[in-house]
Amino acid sequence: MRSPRGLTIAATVLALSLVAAACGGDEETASDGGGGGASDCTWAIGTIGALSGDLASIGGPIRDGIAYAVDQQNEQGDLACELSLQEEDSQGDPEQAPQLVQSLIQNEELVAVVGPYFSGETLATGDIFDDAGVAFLTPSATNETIDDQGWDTFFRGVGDDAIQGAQAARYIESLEPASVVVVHDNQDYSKGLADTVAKELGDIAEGPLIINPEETDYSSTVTQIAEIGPDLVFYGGYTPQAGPLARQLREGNVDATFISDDGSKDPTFGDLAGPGAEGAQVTCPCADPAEIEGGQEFVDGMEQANGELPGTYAAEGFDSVNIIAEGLADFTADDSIEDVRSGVVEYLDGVDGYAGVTKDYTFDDNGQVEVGPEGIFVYEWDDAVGNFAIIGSIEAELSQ
Amino acid sequence: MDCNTALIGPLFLQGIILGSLYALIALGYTMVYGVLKLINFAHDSVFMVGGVAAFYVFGSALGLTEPLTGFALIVALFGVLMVGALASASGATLLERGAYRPLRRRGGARLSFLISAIGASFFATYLFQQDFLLGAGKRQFPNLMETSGAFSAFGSPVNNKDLLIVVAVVICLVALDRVINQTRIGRSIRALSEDVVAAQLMGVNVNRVIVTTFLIGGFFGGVAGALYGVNFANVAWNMGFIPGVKAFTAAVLGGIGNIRGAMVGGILLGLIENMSVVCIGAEWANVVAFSVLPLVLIFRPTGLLGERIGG
Repeated sequence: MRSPRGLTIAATVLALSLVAAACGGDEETASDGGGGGASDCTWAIGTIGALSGDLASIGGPIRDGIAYAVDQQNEQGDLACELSLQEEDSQGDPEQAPQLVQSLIQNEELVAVVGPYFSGETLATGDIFDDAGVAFLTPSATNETIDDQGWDTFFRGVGDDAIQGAQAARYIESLEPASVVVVHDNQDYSKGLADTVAKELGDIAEGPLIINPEETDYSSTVTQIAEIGPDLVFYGGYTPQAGPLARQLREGNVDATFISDDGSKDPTFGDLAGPGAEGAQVTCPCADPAEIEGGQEFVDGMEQANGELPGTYAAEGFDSVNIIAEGLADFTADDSIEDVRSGVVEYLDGVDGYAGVTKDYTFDDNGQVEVGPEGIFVYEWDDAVGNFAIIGSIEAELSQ
Repeated sequence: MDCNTALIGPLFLQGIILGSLYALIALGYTMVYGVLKLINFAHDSVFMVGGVAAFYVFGSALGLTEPLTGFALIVALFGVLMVGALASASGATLLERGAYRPLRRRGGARLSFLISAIGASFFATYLFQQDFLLGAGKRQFPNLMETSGAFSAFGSPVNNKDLLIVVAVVICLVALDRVINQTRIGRSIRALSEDVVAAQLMGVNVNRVIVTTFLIGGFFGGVAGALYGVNFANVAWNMGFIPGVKAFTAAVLGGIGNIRGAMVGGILLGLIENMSVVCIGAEWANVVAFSVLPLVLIFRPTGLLGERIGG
C-alpha cells in the first residue's frame, strides 16, 4: 500500500483508500433492545479500531466486549434512551482513522466513544475528539505519550506503556538473562514500549533492532540476533509481525526466550509463529477476567452470547461502555446532545472508584486510570489451549 | 559507523538466498519488457496468486497440517510449486488477455499499458483481500517441511528451506535459459524482442509469442510465490508488494529485458540489501536497496548486462 511507484500509484492508492474507507465504516448496528423501557430515543456509543485487516484479530475481541455491554445495557433498560453502537473500521491505520472519527462526531445521537483501540490512531485523532468535546475512552491504546497531549476529553482504562515497560523490564531482569535484544517495528506503540523496556534494562539490552512491518522476511534481523546470541528477545509490536518473527528466530536457531506485549496477545500468534510459539510470553496491562473475583459472570455471559471466550481487552471494552452508561444515567431524552456529551466528560472526570469487571476506575487529571504496577500481567503461550494463558501479575510473581 | 564484520558471512549467505527469490520474480518483469518494451506492474499480483493458490490447494483443500518426510515430502513440495506456477501462469495469461491485448488491438499509447497494468494489479490485490477469497489477515501456510539444519556455510547454518529455495531457483533459471536459447518458441521470443516487424514478416505469430512470454514469466513468479509460502509459512493478499518492487529493481539493475541480467540483478540486490545491515541497521536495508534504482538509471541506464533478452 505504500510502495514507491511514483505519483500514479500515490493517486491510485489515495483513490482506493478513499473508496475503502467509504465502504468500510458506518456499520450502525442498532441493538435489539430486549426488555428496555418505553424509550423512543437513541443514544449512540461510537467505537473505532481494527475490525478488519491484518490486525482484526486484536480489534475484534475488543469490539465484541463493547457490543456485549451495549446489549446488556439495553436489556437492563435503565437508561432513558436505548443505546446503539456505531462501529468504524480503521483497520488500525492512523491514516484512515481521522475521517472515520469525523463521521462519528457528526452523528447527532453520538454521546461518547470507546476507542480508538491502538495508539497510532489515537494520537492521530485525539484533537478531533477534543475539539468536538466528545469523550473518548480507550480500553487498549497504551502508548505513554497519549495522556500528555493535553486532551480534556481523553480517558484511558488501562495502565500505559511506561508502567508496562517498566514491569516488563523488571520481569525480564528476574529471568536473569546475560543479554537481551530489543526489537520493534517503528510504529508509535511498538517503538514507545520497546524503547522504555530497553532504557529500563540498561546495559544488558542490545538494540533496538528495527523491522519493517510491511515485510515478511526478517532474515537479516534474525542473522544479527543470532550473532549477538542473547538469552532473551523482547519484541514491541503486534501479532502479524511478532508471530513470523518468533518463527524465523526459532528456525534460525536462536533459542532465546521470546517475550512480546499486549499487541501480540491474541490466538493467531500460534498459527503464525508455529514452532516459535512454544515458551513465548507476553506482558499485558490486562487481567484475565476469569481470574478476577466476580469476573466469571462476565466470561460466562460473553461465551453464551458469542460462543467463544472473551479475548484480550474485551473486559476493558465492556467496562468502558458501562462507565459511560453510568454517566448517562441522569440524562433524559429531552436533554440536548451537547449537554449529554459534556455530561459524560464531566462524569468521567469525577468518577471515583467505579467498580468494573477488571478494576476500580478513577481517572487522573490527564484521563489516565489510576493503576499501579500490580496491574501488569504476564502470559505464556499454551499449545493445548491454543492461546496465551496467564502466569500472573508481574508484581506478585516477583515477590515470590 | 559501527561495522560488525562477524555478520558478513551469514548475511552474504542470506543475501544470496533472498536474491535468488528476487531473481525468480524479476524474470517476469524482464521477459515482458524484452518483448513488449513495457513494465508489467501487475507482476506482483501474479506472484501473490501463486502463493495463494498453493495455500488453497494444500492448506484449505487437502488440509495438510503435519510436516511430511521422505518421498511424500518431495512429491508435496513439487506439487506446491507446480500448483503455484500453474495458477500464476494462468493469472498472467488472463492479465494479458484482459489488460494488455485489448489495448494493443486499439493501438493504445505506452502510458495506457502502464496504467492498465497498475489498475489490474490493484484490482487483483484488493480482490484477494475480500473475505470470500483470502481475507485481510495473514493466512497460515501448511507446514509441509520441518525446518532442520542442513549444513554450515560462511559461519552460518543453512536449513533445508534455504536449500530448497536455492535448488528450485537454479533449476528454474537453467531451464529458462535453455528454453530461450535453444527452442523454437525461445527463438521467436528473441526475434520479437529484437524487431517486431521483422519477426512478423518471418512468420512469427506475435500474439502467441506475447501470451507465451506472460505465461513463462507468470510460471516462475508462481514458483516464487509458492516458495515464499513454504519458507515464511504464511501468505497474504499484499505479500506481492515489496518482493514485486524489489524484483523490479533487480531487473533494472541487471538490465531490464535481459534474462541473465535479472538473475545477476536479483542476487546482487539481495546481497546489497543484506550487506547494508553489516554497518547500518536493517531498517536502512530498503533505503539502500532502492537507491540502486536512480543510481543505475543515471550511470548505467541499460543495466549491468544491457538490454538483450538472450544470453
